[in-house]
Amino acid sequence: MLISVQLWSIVLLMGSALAGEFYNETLTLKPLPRNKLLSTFNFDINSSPFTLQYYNSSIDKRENHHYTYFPRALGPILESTNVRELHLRFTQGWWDSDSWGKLPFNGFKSGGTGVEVWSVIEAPNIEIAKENWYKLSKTLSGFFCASINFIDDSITTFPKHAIKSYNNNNNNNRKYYSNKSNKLYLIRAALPSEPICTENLTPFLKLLPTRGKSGISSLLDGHKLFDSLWHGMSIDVYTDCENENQICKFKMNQSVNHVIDIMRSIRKGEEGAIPKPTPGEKLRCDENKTFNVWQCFPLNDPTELDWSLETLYGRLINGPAFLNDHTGTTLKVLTNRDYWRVTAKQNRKDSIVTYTLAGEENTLTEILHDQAKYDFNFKTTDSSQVLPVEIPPLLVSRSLTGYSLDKGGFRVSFKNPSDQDSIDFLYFESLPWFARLYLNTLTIKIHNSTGEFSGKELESEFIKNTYYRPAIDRSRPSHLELLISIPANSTIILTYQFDKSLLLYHEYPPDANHGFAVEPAIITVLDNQGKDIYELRTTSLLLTLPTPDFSMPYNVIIMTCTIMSLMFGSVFNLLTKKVITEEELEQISSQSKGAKIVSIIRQKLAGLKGKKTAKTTTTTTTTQTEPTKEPEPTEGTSTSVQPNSYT
Amino acid sequence: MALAETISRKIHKLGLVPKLIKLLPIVSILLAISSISWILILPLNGNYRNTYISENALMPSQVTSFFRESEWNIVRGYREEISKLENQSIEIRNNQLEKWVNDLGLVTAYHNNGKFNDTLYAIMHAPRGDDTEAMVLAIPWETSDNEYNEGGMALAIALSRYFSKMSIWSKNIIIVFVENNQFPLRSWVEAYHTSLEETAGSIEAAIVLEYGKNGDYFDYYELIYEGLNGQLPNLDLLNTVNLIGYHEGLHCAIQDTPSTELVKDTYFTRLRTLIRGIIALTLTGIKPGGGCEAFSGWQIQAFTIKARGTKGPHDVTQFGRLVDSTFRSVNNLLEKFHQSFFFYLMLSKNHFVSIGTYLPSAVLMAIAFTFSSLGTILISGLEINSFISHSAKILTIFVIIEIICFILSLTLPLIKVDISILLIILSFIPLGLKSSSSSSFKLNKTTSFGLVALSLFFISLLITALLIVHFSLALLLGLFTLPLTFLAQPKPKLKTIICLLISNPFFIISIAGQDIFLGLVTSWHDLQCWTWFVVSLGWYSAWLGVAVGTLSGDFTVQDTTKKQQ
Repeated sequence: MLISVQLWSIVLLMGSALAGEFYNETLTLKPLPRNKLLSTFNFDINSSPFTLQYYNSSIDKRENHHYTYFPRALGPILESTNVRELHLRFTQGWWDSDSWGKLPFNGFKSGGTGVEVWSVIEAPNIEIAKENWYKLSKTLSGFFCASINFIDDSITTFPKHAIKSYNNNNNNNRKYYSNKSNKLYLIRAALPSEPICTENLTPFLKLLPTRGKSGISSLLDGHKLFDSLWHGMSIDVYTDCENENQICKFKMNQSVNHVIDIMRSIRKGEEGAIPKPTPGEKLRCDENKTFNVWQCFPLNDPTELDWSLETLYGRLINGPAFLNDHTGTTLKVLTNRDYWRVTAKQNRKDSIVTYTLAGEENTLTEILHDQAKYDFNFKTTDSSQVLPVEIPPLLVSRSLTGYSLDKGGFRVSFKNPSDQDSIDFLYFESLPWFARLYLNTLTIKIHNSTGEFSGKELESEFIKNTYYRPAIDRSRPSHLELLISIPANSTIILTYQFDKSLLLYHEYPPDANHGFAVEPAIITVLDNQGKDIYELRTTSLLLTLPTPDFSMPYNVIIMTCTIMSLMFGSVFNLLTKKVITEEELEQISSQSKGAKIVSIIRQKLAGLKGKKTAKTTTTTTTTQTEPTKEPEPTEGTSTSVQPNSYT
Repeated sequence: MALAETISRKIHKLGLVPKLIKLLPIVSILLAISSISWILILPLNGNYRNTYISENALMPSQVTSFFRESEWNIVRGYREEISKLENQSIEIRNNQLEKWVNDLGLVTAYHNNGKFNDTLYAIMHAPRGDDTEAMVLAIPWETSDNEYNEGGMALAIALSRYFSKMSIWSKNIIIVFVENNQFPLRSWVEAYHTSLEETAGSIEAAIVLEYGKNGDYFDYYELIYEGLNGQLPNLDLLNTVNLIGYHEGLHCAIQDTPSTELVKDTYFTRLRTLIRGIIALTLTGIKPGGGCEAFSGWQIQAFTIKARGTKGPHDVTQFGRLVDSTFRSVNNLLEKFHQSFFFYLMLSKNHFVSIGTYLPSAVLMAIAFTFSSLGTILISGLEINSFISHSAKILTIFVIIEIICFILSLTLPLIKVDISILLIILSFIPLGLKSSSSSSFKLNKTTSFGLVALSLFFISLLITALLIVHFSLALLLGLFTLPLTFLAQPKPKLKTIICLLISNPFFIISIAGQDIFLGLVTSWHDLQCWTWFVVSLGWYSAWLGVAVGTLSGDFTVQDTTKKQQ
């Protein structure tokens, strides 16, 4: 296996010398306070150049290109749908910005909870762009084993300002151009309730030229990766062209970021996954407080720790990505060197080599180039001594308000922790159509050290720009973008209300009573020049809609059937029966069999008193009944009487 | 169709209608009696059902809870430190607790309710959870028996330490350390849904934990589950905790079952639980309860568990396991609680009657009042047309009464005079109407009969409107106002006065005690419990209507029915 990888890499490297394609991977480990660890796997891949052309599926026959490092599986998909940029985010968990600080890569590689996709598609008009977008989403769905195929009109948005394409981002120079007759469309959708799991990781690793078999990606094991406090995977592909679309390259960046609870990993290694009670002798107790066989005031987690990558991942790094590439695979440790000692351990075939990592200031760097299984051991005398937490430029929280099932509201609070600088940021929110947003209910409240202020006039003061595209039932989500400026050391609270609609019976998902996820809002912090400097997402929210009892239709069917049969019965009676007066009825009914029996009994009773009268009545009744034999209406069941007869 | 036809013809022939009209007061009383007997029949075998878990996802007590063994040492450790804080202010206690839970890695925040001390709460965000749902464990510093809740606090900290070791959580866990389980807790829940900065998604279930100074051992646990305005937690949640308790070998008391009768299951124990349940549900929010009522609304299912006794065979970690296993079950849920019953009456911890079975009782009561109202009109001996011509006057008087009651309902909570005097004034002054009424204010016969009939019909409507939402209140309202239906016959005046007096809401409240009145008038502001408005706008206005009609009008029945026939 290893040999085949080596051979392949040699072939690739020979090619790369000619074409300038590129592969680089870095693993950055950053210990966080309270025995947590942020580890960041970053992979950069450049394809070999090819000629990019607008592809029209009805006319053209697609050319096959060779991309070398860039995944062969992805290239044709992007070319056939004219995708110039593709961004995918798979994220799960809650980022604790108070104790972990800024998001890795300033948040540009972290999505909101669930799956998020956006891409730039070249098309002559919006219909064709959408067509390609759905084609792309369906292909990606199969590719990544995620429900990306559920993307439809009702959740697709066309972001105006908040999300920038790589092309339009001020940080970069223009990289590609569309054909003169075409435009570039930026399209986005998110699936907030999509769980992220191993089945999404496997295709992710398959995109790498190492296929997760060598280099830092050999550490990535679903069981360990997803047992973290927060994790995110990202894929960014963009097209980089020279000479106006003649020769282009796909540049791809893949990253996996996650926060590990080191103590939990150590404990799982020692005791297994079930948190069994600590044996009495292993309890760590505060001896300054009452401490005996029965009682123990627990101490905090130990700060003197000794762990290795194997403790966290259960695996070792299988050499560098490509043996002949001497700069391709790097490991970085960002920590306080006075308290942490990192040792590398190379398990070679014949020997084990151990050495301490060196580096400058607070960064330890190691380039892996030997064919060996690498493990890195972390030893610290005080694990709380980590690099100072970088406070994010903006802290945001969003929550649902409201009591009833017919309406609700959102409350978003933005906090600027800086003491000096005011901040401009873009707020992007896309709400499902069944939450009917009322923008007129938008209120703004600000509180700072001098007090709390609210009022309509503040709106124009702090909200610099608004872009709003209202929802259309079942075909478009509402799309809100706000450019907000927040002064130093203050908090802005936005609230707005919405109505909840009742869905059609078949529109409820199978687990309707779970509620409906509202996708995370995106906040892009801008600097003075309007460049994006930080990006963050709020958490998703669970919206409860009025949900019918799904057994009700059966009750309704039963009810309807009963009423129908009752109506049919009465109409049928009216149509088929003779209408007579009450007197006639009484006359007839006195001659019916039932009436006869009654009269016979009466006669018998009367017969006890006198026999004469009895004999005469019986004879008369029998003679009278004969001609009226045919209809023989029994009393009560077969007559309908005109209302007039009641007099 | 034809059957109905025959019957109506027979009724017509036999002339039953006038006979029935004459008997209406008796029919009305019979209906009221049958309404009460319906309740009495419910605890008989065959009329109630055994509880069962309806939502399969809950899987109660399917996992072994490892909150045991050395965790007990930790609970003891925390308890000693917490008992040292007993004489400290809540602020100092909160600071200490905040330090402990922060060390466990929990996010903490405070809520200021403007009346009591700040409420500290800690959020354990579920590892890799989607952060949209939460479960709440609320621990008051002071239990509902005014005891220092040291066991509960120690359990809560030890449990949060234990919870944070596990990575199985799909819902966030919020731990609320609150001064007491009345207004401060309600205020926190309300703020969570309006103004709190640190939130953790929609709350699915909540447990209020009370384990006072019971020490290491307790005898049994008490379960309190009533919510505000007739709301109850989903029966599945109660069944879950009871089933877990059963597997732990714990006995459970509901509705103040005495400790000696925990396992007794007879007609009388069931009837006692049922009646106490009805009264408790009516008084929730008015009388200090278990604290779970603070979570009513927002689709939160909540209950309170209290440890009882200090000797018993069970230890404090078992109480913790009750919480742990319940949270594990709720954690399994994908959908909200919706499978099982929301309207039920418990007969014992594993017997219940559902809404379909008990509802006819209140329906019969409502019909009794309708018949009584009808009877008042029919036995007055007056032409129906005269009532129609007087309808404007009758309605005007009733609207005036309603306006007076509305003003009363808003002003009474603000008045700070001696309550006993106020209650006496409200119950007796209207009775003085008779003596003080001058001839100018004397109502004529049609108006007074019409007013009484309208008031009785109003009560009937009120019962009908309430019977599904708040069955207990509807039934008790019917029972208390029942004496008003006896006035619809020629009676000696003393009996009228007595009937009016014993059906006066303020008279009944003054007998029940001042605390009930105080609770009633403050419950809307503190807890959003609307019983006060039912009492003041519904009950008292109807009572005033009857009182005005009978006392300051011509309310004498002539025996004219026979003549008309």
